[in-house]
Amino acid sequence: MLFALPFINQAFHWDDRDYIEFAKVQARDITQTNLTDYSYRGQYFIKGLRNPHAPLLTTYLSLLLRSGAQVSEPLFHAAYLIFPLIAALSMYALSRRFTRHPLIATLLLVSSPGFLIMSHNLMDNLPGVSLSLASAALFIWGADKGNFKLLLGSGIMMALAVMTAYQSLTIIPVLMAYALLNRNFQQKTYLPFVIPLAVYGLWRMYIKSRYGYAPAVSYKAGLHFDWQVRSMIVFIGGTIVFPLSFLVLFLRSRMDIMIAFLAFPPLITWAAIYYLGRGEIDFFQAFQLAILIAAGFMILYRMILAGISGLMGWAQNRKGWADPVFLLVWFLSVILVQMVFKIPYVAVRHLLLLFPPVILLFIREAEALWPMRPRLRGVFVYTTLALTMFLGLSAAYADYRMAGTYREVAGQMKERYGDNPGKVWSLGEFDFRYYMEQQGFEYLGVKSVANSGDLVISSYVCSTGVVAPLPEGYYRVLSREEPSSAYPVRSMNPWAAAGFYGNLMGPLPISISDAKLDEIDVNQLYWETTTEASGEEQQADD
Amino acid sequence: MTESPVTASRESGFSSIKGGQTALRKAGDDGRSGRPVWVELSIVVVVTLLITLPFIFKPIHMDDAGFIELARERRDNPMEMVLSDYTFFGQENESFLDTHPPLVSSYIAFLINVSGAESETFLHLGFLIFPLMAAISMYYLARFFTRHALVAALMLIVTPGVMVMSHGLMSDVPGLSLWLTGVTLYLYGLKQKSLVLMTICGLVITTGVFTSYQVLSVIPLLFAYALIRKELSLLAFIPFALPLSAFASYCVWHFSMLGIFPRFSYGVGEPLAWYSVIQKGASVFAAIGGTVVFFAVLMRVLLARKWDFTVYLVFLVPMWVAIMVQFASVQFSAWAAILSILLMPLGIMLLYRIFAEAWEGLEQERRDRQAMNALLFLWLAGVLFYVIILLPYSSVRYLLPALPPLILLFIRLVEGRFAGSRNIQNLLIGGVMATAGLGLLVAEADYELAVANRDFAGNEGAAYGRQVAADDHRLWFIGEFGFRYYMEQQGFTELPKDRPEVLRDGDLIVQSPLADPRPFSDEMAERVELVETVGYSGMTPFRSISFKSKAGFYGHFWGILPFSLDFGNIEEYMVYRVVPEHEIDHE
Repeated sequence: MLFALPFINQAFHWDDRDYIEFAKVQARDITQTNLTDYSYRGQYFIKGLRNPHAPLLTTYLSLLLRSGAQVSEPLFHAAYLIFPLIAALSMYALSRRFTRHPLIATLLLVSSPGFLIMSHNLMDNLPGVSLSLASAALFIWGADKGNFKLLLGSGIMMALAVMTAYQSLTIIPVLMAYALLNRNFQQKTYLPFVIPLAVYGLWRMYIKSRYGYAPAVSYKAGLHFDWQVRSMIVFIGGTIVFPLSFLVLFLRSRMDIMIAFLAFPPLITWAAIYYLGRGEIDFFQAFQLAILIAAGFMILYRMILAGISGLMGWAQNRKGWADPVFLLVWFLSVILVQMVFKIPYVAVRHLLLLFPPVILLFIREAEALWPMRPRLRGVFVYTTLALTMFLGLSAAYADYRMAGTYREVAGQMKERYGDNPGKVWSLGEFDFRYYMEQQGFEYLGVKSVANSGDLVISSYVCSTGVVAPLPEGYYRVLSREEPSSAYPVRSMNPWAAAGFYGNLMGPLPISISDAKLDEIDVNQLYWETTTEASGEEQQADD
Repeated sequence: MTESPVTASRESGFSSIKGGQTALRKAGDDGRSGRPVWVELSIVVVVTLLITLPFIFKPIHMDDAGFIELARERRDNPMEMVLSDYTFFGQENESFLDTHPPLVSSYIAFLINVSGAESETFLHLGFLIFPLMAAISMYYLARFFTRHALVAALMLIVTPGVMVMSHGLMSDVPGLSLWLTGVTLYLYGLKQKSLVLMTICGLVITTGVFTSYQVLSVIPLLFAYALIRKELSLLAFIPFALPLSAFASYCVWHFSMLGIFPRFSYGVGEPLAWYSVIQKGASVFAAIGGTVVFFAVLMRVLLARKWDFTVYLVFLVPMWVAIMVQFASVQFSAWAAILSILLMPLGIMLLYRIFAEAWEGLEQERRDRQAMNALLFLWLAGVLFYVIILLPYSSVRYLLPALPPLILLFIRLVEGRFAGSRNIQNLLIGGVMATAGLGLLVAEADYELAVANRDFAGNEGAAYGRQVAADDHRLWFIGEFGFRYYMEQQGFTELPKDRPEVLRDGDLIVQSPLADPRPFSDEMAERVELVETVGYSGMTPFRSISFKSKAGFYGHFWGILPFSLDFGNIEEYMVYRVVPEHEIDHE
């Protein structure tokens, strides 16, 4: 609550707007899941923009609207608070099972940069993870104790998680693996899995019967394997626990050092020197990348090593061998799903579900650190916690500041161009679009009809790669504003190479930089003929 | 690392050198000199600063300019490996690929960014860390091999080779310092089975490889050391993993970015041709005879027994004949001939002596599973092999990595030959002082040459520049290194080779023969006439490079001697005017 409440007034940010739009539709008709007659990301959807997300979060938000509430940042964020709380409590329960320090593990999760940023917005990733965690906690305790009520609760939670975020399907095989690894073959242990699978199956049937197609489980995008893997390792290294702590904890034995010495140079060349040599990032950004990919690799290495030693324990009939194997299965499942779902880019939010196994492994390893020097071990753990909190809060504040920029910019534009005699359009998606529309500026979509002399206010960050740029030769830039922030951390910024919400923007998840936050251009359209220019009519309903 | 590796010393080749073991026993100590380590280290640091600080105002000299050129590019793009539109020795290159690893240029770029300007003083101050690192590492390394660790460290830093190169911005002293640090850490790390030391060792060797490719030699050397000692554990391999992995990654990256693997050589000459090998060999022998220990001390040690004189004469007589032939045919000056006859046989004699002594100790070491003699033996042989055989030319700076084993073997030789004598201490201290004196004289000579280039560019060069500018003409220059640096600072351009069409009648061409002795092509020669020769003299007759006196500190193509004596000018700059062909007075 301490980490979330100060951010309750955070402006709607990034994909939040999509959820609000779908919630508004569901507020009118709770069974409706598509946006009709809608311009979005360079396309126009007459029949309807399919909701690419599972329905439960938007339904939850729509209930607020149906109860008479208006869309407001504090209200929606307050309603969203339940999810980080569920996640924290579930993580505590899980940590009690896997470590001797559940509080530290839980605090690490809730203060991690990835978790903290995602708990301040309205996207479905954190709710999905929190419900998955709840199902995992209930299942593991239920299976260990043979308690059917807990197992049943777990099944319900799994269903809720899947209906909140389709990626939560990942938790089903993970929990099955837990039961199998612990040689639990009782029928009641597997019954809970029927619930999410049945709910999800019924949901698919319903959508197919109503709209003629089933919900998509994949972006069906082509994968750039090396680009994806590279970013995944970097993002894992940079958004869970303070990165240098991984290096301290996981570089202990001769074999660790040997592996690191062999692997770091090619990894750093691949991730940092490559971009640096091409002039895409500067030296300091390359330095940050180098540290993060090293940390990310060490996480991967130690997860696998722990898993292998667990398997060796199984061969030698050692007690407790299944736990590290289970954590490895969990970790790899999330990565595998990222690939299977063919998510075309890497984002921290898509990796949230692998935070818990990484943190659990971190705590387990830390418990075995320096056995003869417990005080030093304590210093290490508490320092890591403090640094992780600092990093998390820094990233969250940077994201808060970035989100607020568009609310401020839209207000300023309203003052400046509110009574402009000509039409004033906005060009850009995400929060920029939301607040510009709030201020009465119409979104310039492909179906929009603009005239020579009209003004178009565009955001570089919110339009690059998601909307078609203005045609060269038909506009002139009247002015450019570069919002800035003295706080030297960036979450989504091409000049800082930060791509927290998608590595398309940059190879770092969070970057230490004082780069400008965005470029807001005021453009004037012009052409010599008096013919109206209209965008190509693009029927993009499949 | 304050504890002396006593056991290692005792187990080492001391026992194999006649009298050495006795000497150690007689000393009755544990390998220490009796002074606290911090006192000895303080002496090393103070002496290092004493011989480097007075030279921090030295102008940019020799290859310093090339490193700075690339550093300028690196300020904008830290991974830049190529100089665009770069003329080098008159050869125009659309893109010129550097042959050095990237770290020294990047470090210079960092220093320039910190200071905000290309300040010679600041850059030299920034480079002081390397001789200091070399001296301290040598001190700790020497504690493995000798009781006279302080003498060994001092002797290394006062040799003319290290002293001159520690006043420059080239990669040789940084490479040497990282090489030495890497080897020292490895020896201590292996002995103490310390993961921390071995990890740092890996980092240091990697830094060294990206400072000077020669440092790659450390890996097989240390592998052989661990192999002979039968200590090939995972720990022993850790320091090799990072440099090898990093170097392989660097090569792949280089290939992917530029389409070619890194260049390790300018590709000039025929390094393996017999005449080239003989020239390089002669130059190396002269350098060893002249720049390791002052020749008089060397003679005292090497000619201590009657048999030594016989051996010496075997080397001396053919040398004497060969040099006298050169002198008679006016190819060698009197000083060049004298120094050649003095230094080359001494160099051969020193190598013969220490290899003979070390060889005797190898069998004993094999039985004891020790590798101290073998390490020095292989180290020295490896460096001599690549300098004489593989590299395109020989130079004192390329020999720097051979100096530590040479000095250590020399001191062990002294300890063996003068065992029980009270003169050891005096002899070694005398050797340090005499070598330091020689080093200062050579360093001063090199400093004067650097100053001459800067002064010429700032005085006569600038005056000629103003003169031609007034007539709407241009001033071109021929020459590389520091001369080029300061001429470019004045706004002048290097004359491309065989491009007479760029010249207009009335243009001036200034040449520094030491910086590029190339003659004009026939076509060019038809269009230029010598206007003036500007000579710069020096305070001392010592020369670091000189065609006339065969001094070739920076490369044997200037001369086979590491330094020489000459009472003429340091450099004579040639000023030519471009004139219509028919106006040239060919007389």
